[in-house]
Amino acid sequence: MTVERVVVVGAGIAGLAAAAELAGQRAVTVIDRLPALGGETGYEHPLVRSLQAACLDGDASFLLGTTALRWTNGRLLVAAPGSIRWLDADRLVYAGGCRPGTPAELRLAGSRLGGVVSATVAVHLLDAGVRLGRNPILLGESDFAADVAARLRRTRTPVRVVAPEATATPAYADEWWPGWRGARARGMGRVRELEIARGDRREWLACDAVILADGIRPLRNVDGAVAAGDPATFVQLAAPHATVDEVAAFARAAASALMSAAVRGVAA
Amino acid sequence: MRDVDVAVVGGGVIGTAIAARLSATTASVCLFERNDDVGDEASKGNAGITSSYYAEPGSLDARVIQATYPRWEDTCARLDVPFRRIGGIITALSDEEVAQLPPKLEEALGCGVRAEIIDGRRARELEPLISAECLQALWLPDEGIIDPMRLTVRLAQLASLNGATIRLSAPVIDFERSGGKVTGVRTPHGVVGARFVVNAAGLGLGMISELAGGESFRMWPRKGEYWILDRQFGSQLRHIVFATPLPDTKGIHVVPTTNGTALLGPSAEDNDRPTDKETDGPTLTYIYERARRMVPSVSLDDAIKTFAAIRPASDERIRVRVDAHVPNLVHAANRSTGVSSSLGTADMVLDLLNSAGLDAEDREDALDRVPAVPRLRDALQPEVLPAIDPRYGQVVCVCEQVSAAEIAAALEGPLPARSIDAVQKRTRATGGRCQGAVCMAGVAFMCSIATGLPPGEVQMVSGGTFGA
Repeated sequence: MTVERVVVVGAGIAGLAAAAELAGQRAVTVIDRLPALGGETGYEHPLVRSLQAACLDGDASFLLGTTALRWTNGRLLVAAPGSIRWLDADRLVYAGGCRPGTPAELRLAGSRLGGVVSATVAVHLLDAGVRLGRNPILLGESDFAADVAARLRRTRTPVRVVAPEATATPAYADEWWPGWRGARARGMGRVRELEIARGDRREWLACDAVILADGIRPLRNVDGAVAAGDPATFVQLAAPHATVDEVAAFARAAASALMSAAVRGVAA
Repeated sequence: MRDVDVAVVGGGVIGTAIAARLSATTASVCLFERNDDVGDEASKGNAGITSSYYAEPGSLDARVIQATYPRWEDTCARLDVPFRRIGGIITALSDEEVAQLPPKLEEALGCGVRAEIIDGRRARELEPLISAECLQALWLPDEGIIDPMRLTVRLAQLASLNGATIRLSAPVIDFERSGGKVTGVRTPHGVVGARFVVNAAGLGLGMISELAGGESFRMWPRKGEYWILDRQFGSQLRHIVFATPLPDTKGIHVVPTTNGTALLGPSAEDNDRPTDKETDGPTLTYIYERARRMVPSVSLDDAIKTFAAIRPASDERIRVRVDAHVPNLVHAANRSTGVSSSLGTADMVLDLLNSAGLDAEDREDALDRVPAVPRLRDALQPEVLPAIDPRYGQVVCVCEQVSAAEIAAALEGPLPARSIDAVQKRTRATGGRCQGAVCMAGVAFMCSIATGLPPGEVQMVSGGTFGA
C-alpha cells in the first residue's frame, strides 16, 4: 500500500505541529510563503526548533518561499520565485494562520480612509519605521493588538484600545474602552475621528489612525480550500488570544483526528 | 506644454474613452484629471454593468448605449479588460411589479436588444438563486458585466500609447477665452492652449461649463452604497439580478463581478455633499434586505467590503452636444450609464468636433490595442508564466493571486500606478477577501520603491497616506 501524501500549507506553529504529528506515518511536505520556519512565532522559538526536528525525524520535507494557490483533484498549484508547478497530494492540511476582520466584517461604516489599516499591515509598516499616527486607536483586544501596541510603545505613542469584548484591562492599554465597538470612521483622505458605540450610546474619538485587531478569523486564500465543506483539513485556531502551546495542542489534535478518521474510513 | 487640438477635462470612463478615440486621429489631445489617477470617481464606484438599453427608444441615452453595447467583446479583447455578456433578469415579485414588465419589454425591443418576459419557473431555471417569490421576469441576454476600473485605465493607456497626454493631479481652475471661444485650459501647472475643449467632468460638468463661459447646469451628487460579497457566494451567481424599479423604491441589484465576487446595491441618496463617500449602517441594512427579497441566499457572512460612491445627477439626463454659447466647447456627460454609453459617446463627440471644424481623420498607424499583462489567476497554463517573468512565481496578493510581475507592470506603466488604490484598479491586489491584511504592506513597499517616496508617504487611498 502506498503511503498517503499530505501537503501542509503553513510552517508556523500550527502547521509544524500538525506536520510533526503526521510525519513518519504519512509522506509530508510542508510549504510556506516565507522562506523560513516559524511563521508569526519566529524561527528562534524553541518550540519551532523542536517541531522542526520532529518533522525531520519523520522524513517530512520543506518547500519554503512557496505559495499555495489552487487545490483541485489531488493537485496543489504552488508558486515560488521563478517556478510555478503542480504538487501531487492525497490530502491538504491548511494551517495558513489567522487575520483580523476587515472593516466590512467588523461592520465599521464610514469612508475608505488612509490610516485605517489591519494590524497585520500596521506591524510591517511600524517595523519599517513608518509613523502610523500620533493618536491611534486599536480596535480590538487580541494578540494582534498586543503586537501593534508593543511597537507603538517603542515610539512612545499612547495606546488607546476600543474593544467590544469587555475583559480585564490589557497591560498595554493607556486608555481603555471596554464594551465599545467601532461604528464609523470619518475624515478627509486620512482618518480624523472614529465613532464608537455601546448599546445606544455614541462617542466620537479624535484619532489619526485606526488599527483593526478584532474579529480574528482564519485566512483562507487557496482556491478549492476555502470553506468548511472543501476537501481539506483546516488547522487554524481563530481566537483573540492563543499561546504557542495552545496552538500546537490544537494542531496535534486536528492531525491525529485526521489520521484516526482515515483509519476508520479504511475499516469501514 | 505645447498647444493641443483638443483638451479633454475629466479622466472618468467618458473622458478617457473620448481621449482614446481622438488619439487614433490626426488631432492632438491632452486630458486633464484632478485626481492622481484616472477613474477615481463614479467610474470606480459603480456596479460594473454594461447595459444593453436604458431609456425610451430613440432618445439620446438609448442611441449612445445602442452604439456601445454590441462592441464590448471586441473592445475588451483589444484592451485586455475583463468582460462577460452574462445577461440580466429583472425580477417581479408582486403583481404591481409584474405590471411594470410589459412596458420595459417594449422599451427594450424598441432599442433593438433581445428581451423576453418569462415566468418565475423559467427565471429560476436561468438563475437558481432567484427567490420562489419571483412571479415573472424580464430576461435581457445582452446585458454584461465589466471591470469598469480596468476599462478606464486601459482607455487612458491606449490614448497615451497613441500620443495623447494624460495630465494627472491637474484640476482645471480656469480657461483662457477670446472672441466668445475658449482658447486654453489653466491648471495650477500652467496654461495649455486648445482649439477645442471637451467637458467630461462628471459631477463637475456645471462648474467647468461656467468657468468656460458656457451654459449653467445644475448638477448634484447622488450617493450609492454597496456591499461586496465573497467569491464563495459570487461564483454561484450566473446572471445579473435586477429589481423591478417602482416609483417609490430604489433599484437594488445583485450583480456578479468579473472577478467572481458579487455586488449588492446601489442605494440612491441625493444630497449636496460632493465629497461624502461614507457608508452608513441603516442604508447598508436596507440594501441587504432588498437584495435578500430577490436572492434569499445572500448572506452578510460573505461580506468582504462595503463602499459608497458618488454619481452625478442632473435635471437633464444626458448631454452630448456643443455648448449653446461657446461654439468650441463640447459637453459629454451622463447620469448613471457612463460605462454603458462610453464608446458611443466618444464617437459622437468626435463627430461633433469635426462638424465644429476640428477636421480630424483616423490615422492608419494608430494602435487599437494595449499589450495584455498575463494574469496568474486567469492563466490556463500558469506553469509557463515564470519563463515570461520570474516574478510571476512571487505571489504578493494571495486572495486575488496577484504576482509581483503584475504589480510591477502596473507600477511601470504606461500611466503608472502611484498609490495602493491605483495598483488595485490595475491588478486587484489588496482587493480580495482579506482586503490587504496579508499583502498591503508589501504593495506599499513596492509603491515606495517605484515612486521614490518613503512608505509612510505612499497614498493608500486618494489623499490618504499610510503615515500620519
